This record gives sequence, structure tokens and C-alpha cells, in this order.
Amino acid sequence: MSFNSAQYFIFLPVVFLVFYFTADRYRWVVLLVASYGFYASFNAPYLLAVLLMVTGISYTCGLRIAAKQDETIRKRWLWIGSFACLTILALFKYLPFFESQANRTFGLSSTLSSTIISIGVSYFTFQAISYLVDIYLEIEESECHFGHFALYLAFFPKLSQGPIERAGDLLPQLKQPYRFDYDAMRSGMLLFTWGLFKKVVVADRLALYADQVYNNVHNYTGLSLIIGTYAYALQIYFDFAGYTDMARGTGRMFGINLTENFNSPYSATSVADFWRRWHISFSRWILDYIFKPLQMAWRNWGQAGPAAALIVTFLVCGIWHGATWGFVIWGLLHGIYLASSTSYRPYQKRLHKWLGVEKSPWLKWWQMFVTFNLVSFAWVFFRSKSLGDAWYVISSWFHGVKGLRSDLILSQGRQNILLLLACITLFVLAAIRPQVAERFNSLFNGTSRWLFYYLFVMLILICGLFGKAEFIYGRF
Amino acid sequence: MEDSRRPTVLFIKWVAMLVVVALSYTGLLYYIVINGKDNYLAATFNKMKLLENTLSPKMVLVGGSNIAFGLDSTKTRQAFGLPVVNMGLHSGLGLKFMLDQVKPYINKNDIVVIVPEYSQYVGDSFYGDEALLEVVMITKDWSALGYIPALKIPNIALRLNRIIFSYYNEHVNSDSIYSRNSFNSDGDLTAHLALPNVKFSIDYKALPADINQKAIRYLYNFIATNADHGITTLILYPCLARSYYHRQAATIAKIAGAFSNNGIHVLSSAQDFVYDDDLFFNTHYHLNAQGRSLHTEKTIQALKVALMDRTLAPTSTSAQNLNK
Repeated sequence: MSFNSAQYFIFLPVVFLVFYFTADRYRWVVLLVASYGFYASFNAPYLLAVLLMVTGISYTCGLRIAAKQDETIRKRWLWIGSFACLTILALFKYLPFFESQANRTFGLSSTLSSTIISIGVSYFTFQAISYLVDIYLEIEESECHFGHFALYLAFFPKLSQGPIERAGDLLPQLKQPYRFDYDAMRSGMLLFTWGLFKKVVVADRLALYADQVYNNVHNYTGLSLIIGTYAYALQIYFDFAGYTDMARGTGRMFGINLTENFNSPYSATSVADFWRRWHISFSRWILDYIFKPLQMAWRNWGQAGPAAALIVTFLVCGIWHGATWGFVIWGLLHGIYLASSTSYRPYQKRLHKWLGVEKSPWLKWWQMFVTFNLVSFAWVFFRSKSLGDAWYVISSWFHGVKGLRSDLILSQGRQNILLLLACITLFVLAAIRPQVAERFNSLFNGTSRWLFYYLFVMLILICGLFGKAEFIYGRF
Repeated sequence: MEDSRRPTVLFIKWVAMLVVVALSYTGLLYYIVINGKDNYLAATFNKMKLLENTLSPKMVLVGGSNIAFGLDSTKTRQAFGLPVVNMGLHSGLGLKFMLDQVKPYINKNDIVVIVPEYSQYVGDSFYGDEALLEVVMITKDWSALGYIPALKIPNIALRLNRIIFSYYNEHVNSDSIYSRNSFNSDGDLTAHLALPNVKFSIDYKALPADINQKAIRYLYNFIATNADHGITTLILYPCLARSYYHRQAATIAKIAGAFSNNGIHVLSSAQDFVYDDDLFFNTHYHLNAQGRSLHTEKTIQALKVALMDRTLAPTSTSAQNLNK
């Protein structure tokens, strides 16, 4: 059951009504049953078993770590819990890789991995690991109530794609008694609708162009490939940000505030700034649990320590997305961007001073342009079907306009282009001129707000692409 | 007092708004569908009329758009000396609906040739999708809604929004071959025959790997019942672009296996109707003029061979055994 399906539009109000009319002490049961039901709707019973397994392991290990005083034993339980969770995650993520190796080595023809899906496994596994580490570091206390803990891992709005919530942020909210708040409810519904708009109107329509180009890259050259790449860069943002808005909107309806995952990432002025704005809960996770320990371990290496830690961290980040060279290079590229920025930053400042542009408003625009293009360049490896395709895209960027007009731009109809241009203009204006965003928001707060609710929902119903595509990050 | 009412008030307001939205959306959709007189799917009226008015013995072709685009009924008529009714329109109608649609109009000595797209045997395409909902609105035959599983209807209704979104392109600016007027008097789609190929991508969604056993059994029972009434039913694989076939070969082999396991005889093999991509007009199922001519010849050949040996058809007795 995807957030953009009719089933979810029915599921959500039904769960809310049951939740609303249930006594406070049993509300967690409603949410837990709904969450497991939501997960079961993916028609993969083994996913529920994995979720229960990770829940059981992390709950038990968490209690053990908290109960013991001896540092060695505490550390042992931390390693046992983390290793078990990571093994489960690795089995799911790299099954296709292991299978292809086994097929090649032993001459088998297994196709098991093609029938296995791993929706959500990464996200609840990361939460479980962060929970164990935080207990070990005595940042958090262990949760004794198994139901509350199970809900912390399984809460359905964030189950399939995050945000990755820290125990200290989410668990106390899950235990709080629910009080109906008109404003929270209304803003939750609006946020959900806004996310749906981003997904079905913007992301899925951009996907028409990105998929067309990237599924047959050799049919295109030059500007067509550039348009396809930019379309994908925007698609992945609107897809993921749309999902996060829908998740946060859903959470807010139940009185739960989930972490904001995006903060206008394409207005970042450097790659480091981009990672502070992109998939924020994941960036924090890799910063805290991978980068910082590595940085500590390599603190004697001087300037090379943080640089190496950044490269390794982002390499792991790339491998987490999947066992393909495209993801590895994507991660490596981001690691190199960040590592090199630690060296050139002082020279960059001097250069700006020397050029006299340090206070120029154009500098920010230039930096945003460069950052967006660096990030888009890395997306080529992320999206391409193979390294050969990625190389073709990059090497053909400046060669002609094959397939541009009739095959690409006009293939999806003029109305599609006009709609996308209007939406992107609106988003860009809202990002660069806060007044535009305020003006837009005021439409939904004024006396005619019900008219605008109606028009907005109708716009989504008419212009949305329903049932076309799953959320991109669902498969990670 | 006000606070305690607020959840109820908000709830009532939202429900009221959703009702207004649902009514507006359905109304708009309905208005556009029923006003589309040249709507491609409105050709169902013409096809039904042709089926009703054609006397037996006749040959009825049942399937999706692959046979609308890819078979020449005139040549087929000449080859068998029988009037031919090409009912092929859209795979989205679902095989179940297609079979039930022709059932009341076929009689003893008729020949029914069933050529559905592969999607009809896997997943839940057998029950129809947006195209069927559109036909329900066009024909106002609301009972046909029963073919679509209830849980699928809301999603299908949402997907049907493409009719509203592309209204301008398809109705105001129309030069599309997807029109009720694109068919000849036998039910073949001929508007594309003089046109050059349109570049198409074979990156359509992969066929679901799960065989729909209910679809296979329904087909088997249909053949068996027809046999009891002296109606010959023949099954053919559809034409398919080679590049798409290569991608879906495993699933197609599974479908062939399911036919074989269930005692359904299919004339020739799937590979026999696989053609080079350049013989296709705008999708991997829609042949162009050259492809249509070749495919018609091959189909006639396959049918001729099969009609010489009618003992292959199952009967209701064997169908009962299968259902056990």
C-alpha cells in the first residue's frame, strides 16, 4: 500500500477514527496493529517476520546493555545487536549480488532475489542500531515496554522510507496521551496533500522524461541527455520530499512530529551544505554512527583523517543504496567532493576576496549553480542502468540535440511541459522569495480556504499520475 | 464547548468536501467520456452491432488491440469463406469481459479465435482496468462494473484522470488514430496503415510473474462449453515485438506451461508470432501495414491447420474434471 494509492486514502481515515475513539492507554495498540497491517499490505509476509526479528533483537540487547555495569559486557551486547541487525540488512540488500555470484560460481539459475522486496528494512534497522548505540553511550535509556518499542520501529508513516527517527525524539511522543489539536490536524492534512502534489503531479510527470532518456540513453544526445539528467535530479527530490511530507503530515494527524528530512537542498551553496539539507535524518545518522567514529579513529592523520573518513563514509552510503558500481561511484563522488572541500575551502575564500566577490549576491547564485550541477553529475551514476550508460551520458552531453523535440519534449504532450514548467517556477519562486511562499500559504489560511482546499485537491486529482510509479527510495 | 465540537466539525467539513470533490471529479469524468462521440472505446458499440447482425456460421476474433491493429479480416474472410467479426479493441477490458461479451452471440458452427495479450494470463489484468471502467460509462452498462474487483475500482478511477488531463490534445486537437472512426466495417483498425511508424519504447512495465490460474480455468471452461454447443474455439498467442519478447521470455514460457498443465491447446508457439521491432507501429503489440500482412498470413495458416483437427478442443466433461 503506497501513500499515493486509493487504498491508503481509505486506510488512513479508518485508522485515525479507530485511534480517535480508543482510550489513551490502548492507542499504541491501534497504531501498532495498523503499522503491521500497513507492512503486511506489501504482500511479503517475510518482511513482517524480519521486522519482528529486528524488534526482538534490539529490544533484548537494549535491555541487556542498560542492565549491565561491566563495560566489556555492555560492548558485547552492543556488538551482538548491531551485528545481527546489519547481517539481516546485508542479506536483504545484497541478496541479488550474492545470488548472481553463486549462480556464476556454481552454475545455478536461481531467481530468488527477483521475488524478494526489502521495503523499509534499511530504515527500521538503522533505527534499531541507533537505539542500541544511544543506550550504550548513555544518551538514551532503554525502553522496557515492548509494545512502545515495537511501535517506535514500526510506526507506519515512517516505516517504508523514514525519516530515521532517534529513540529520544519519537518514543516520548508515542507515550504521550493524545489530545485533538485542530491546528495540528489541519496542518497535517495540508502537509499530506502538499506531499501528494509533489509526488503525483511533479515527480511522476518529471519521471516521464527521466525514464524515457535513461531507459534508452543511446537514442539521445546532448541537450536531451542534459534535460533527462536535470529531470531526474528534480524527480528524485520531489519524489522523496513528497513522501516525507506525506509521512510527516500523517504523523501530525496522530499528534506525532516526525523529523524534517529536506530543507530546499537544491538551494545549497556547497556539497556539504547540500548534505545538511538532503535526507537530513540519514545524513545525521551516517555522520554520528560512521563518520564521527572514523574521524576519532584517524584523528592522528592530520588533515587526511577527516578527508579519509568522509570518503569512506560516503562510500558506505553508496554501497548502502545497492551492490552496483553506479551507487559506489555516486557515493565516492560525494565523498571526494566533501573531502576536497576541506582542503580548498581556505583557498576559495582567499580567491573570492581577491576577486572582490565575497559580498556579491551573485556569488551565492554561482555557488548554488555549481553545487546543483555537481550533485546532478553524481545522479547520472545513480540513475544509469550501467556504467556504460553513465559514460555514454557524460561523454555525449555536448554532442547535438538528437531526439530532443519530437521524441522527448513533445512525446508526453504540451500540457505536461506547461504543467511542469508552472510547478517548477512556483517552487523556485517560493525558494528564492519567501513572500511568494507566504502568499501561497495564506490562500489556505484565509476566509476562502475551503475553496482553495477544494481547488488544490481537484488539481491533484486531474493532473496527478496515479499508479504509475512507486517511491524511488522505497527500494532502498 | 467549542473545543469539544471542533473534531466533529472538522470531520464533517472534510467529509463534505471530499463528497463534493468526488462528485465533481466523477461528474467531470463522466461528462468528458460520454461526450467523446469519437472516443476509441466507443467503437465497442459498432463492434457489438456487427456481432449481433452477422449471421452464423461466422468467425469471431476476441482479444485486445493486438488483433484490432494486426489482423486483416478481409483476407481471413476470403481464406475461410466465413464472415469475420474482429472484436479486438483494448486489453484493458479484461479477458473475462471480452469472453462474456461475445458469449450470447455465438452459435453452433461458429469459430471463436481468442488472441489476448499476455498480460491477461498474469496478475489481475484478466478482470479489466481503466478501459473497462470507461466502457461502462460509455455504454452505461453498470453491471459490467462487477468484473472489476471492488478494491481496484478507486485506483482505476484515479488513473482514469488521464482522460481529463489530455482532453485538449485528444478532443480539440485531434489527429489521433485512437478514434471510433478508425475501424473498417469488419472491426479492423486501419487508420494507421498508411502512416509511418511512431518511435516507441519497449520499457513497459514487466509482466507480473504470477500466473492467474482463475483466468486459465475460465478460458478452459469457455472452450469446453463452446465445444458442447458445437462452437469451435481456438487459442493463439498474440503478435509481439522481438525486443519485448526477449525481455519477457521467462514469463511467456510460464504462461505456455500453464496452458499445457491445464490441457489448453494453443495453436503454434509464442515465437511464431514474434516479429522484428520495425514491423510494429507504435507499441510492441501494434503491427504496421507490413507486419499486419505477414501476421495475417501466418494466422490464417495456423488456423487452417487447426481446423483440420478439431479433436483438440476440450469438452465440458474434461472441464469438470479440471475444476475438481
